[in-house]
Amino acid sequence: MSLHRRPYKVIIFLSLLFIALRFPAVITAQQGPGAAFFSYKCGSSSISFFMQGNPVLQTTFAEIINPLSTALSTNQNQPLKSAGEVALWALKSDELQIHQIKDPDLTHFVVPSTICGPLYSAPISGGANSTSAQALAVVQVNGTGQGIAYAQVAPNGQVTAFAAVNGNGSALAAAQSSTSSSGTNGSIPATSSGEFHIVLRGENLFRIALHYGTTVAVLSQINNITDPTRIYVGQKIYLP
Amino acid sequence: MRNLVLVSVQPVAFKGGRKLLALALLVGMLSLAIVPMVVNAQATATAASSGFGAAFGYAQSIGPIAYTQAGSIGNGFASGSAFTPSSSSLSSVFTTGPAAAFATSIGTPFGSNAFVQVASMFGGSGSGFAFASP
Repeated sequence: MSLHRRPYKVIIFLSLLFIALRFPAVITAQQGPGAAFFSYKCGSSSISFFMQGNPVLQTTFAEIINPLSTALSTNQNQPLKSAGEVALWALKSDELQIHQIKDPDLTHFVVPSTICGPLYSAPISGGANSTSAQALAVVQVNGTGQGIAYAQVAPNGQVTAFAAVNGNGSALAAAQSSTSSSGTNGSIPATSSGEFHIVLRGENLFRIALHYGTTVAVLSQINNITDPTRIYVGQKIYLP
Repeated sequence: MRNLVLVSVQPVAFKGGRKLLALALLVGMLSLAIVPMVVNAQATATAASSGFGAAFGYAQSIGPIAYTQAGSIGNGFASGSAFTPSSSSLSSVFTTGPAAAFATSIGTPFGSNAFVQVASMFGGSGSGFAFASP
């Protein structure tokens, strides 16, 4: 009997784990006293907030990204947008808060920043370029020939190529360090779709890759991440 | 902006050399076609020899400094090329028969230097080329 039950337990556990990883926003509840009269509605790339059923403020994912990144990286809440008598803030706890300006404490309504899905957007200007390295070494000898080819791009940018041969043969070594560039903006890796994900607290590259249906290796390559275990809150992870 | 230069010159049609050249060209073309990039530093070394011959090429880019060496003895050819955004260096030698050649060059933002030495005897021939900038 236990032999039959155990696989189910494993399957259920794995399923719950997958759901938790795949839909992190689903298992996070809204909070705050303002929940009684504030509500929200998700759009494809925006969130609309309502106060007692009336629309009061709308913000796009693109508008959220920068204040939220700043809040996460500086550990200080950031004003995001205001309209009429309400204001929207990006919190250092990776959440959004809307409240009435006249009484924030008694009216605030807090939702996770990813309540309407991951925050990603179309390409934007600015940001850092990604540096990549390529190295190639080829040796071909015939008969008693001997050859060696060596190509290296060091982390400090030092590039070395060495090729030597004797007898019948040839050798080629080539190495280069380059910076990927995309037009004048120059911030989007060439192999990226231009969409990106802002790393949130508690996330890791594996989880992000799982969420977007890709792999850690692909994300590492696109974003020039040498150590996949080292990403930081607020970092932009470009998607394939 | 693209600044990829593939240096693969083989004046002597050694056996198997064409495959190597084709492979190098293919890789170069693919890298051009697939990844638009700004090259920060590049180093390429080639060497080929046949029969009684030996050759080597060496290229290195360290920061703004580009340095290359090429040497050949007997029937051989070698070249090295290195590029940085602010300097470049190219050395190439070619020898046949009883001859030896050596070329080296260095390019830095503060100046450049090039050196070539060739020796031959008993009907051998050799040539060397070195260039550096700025």
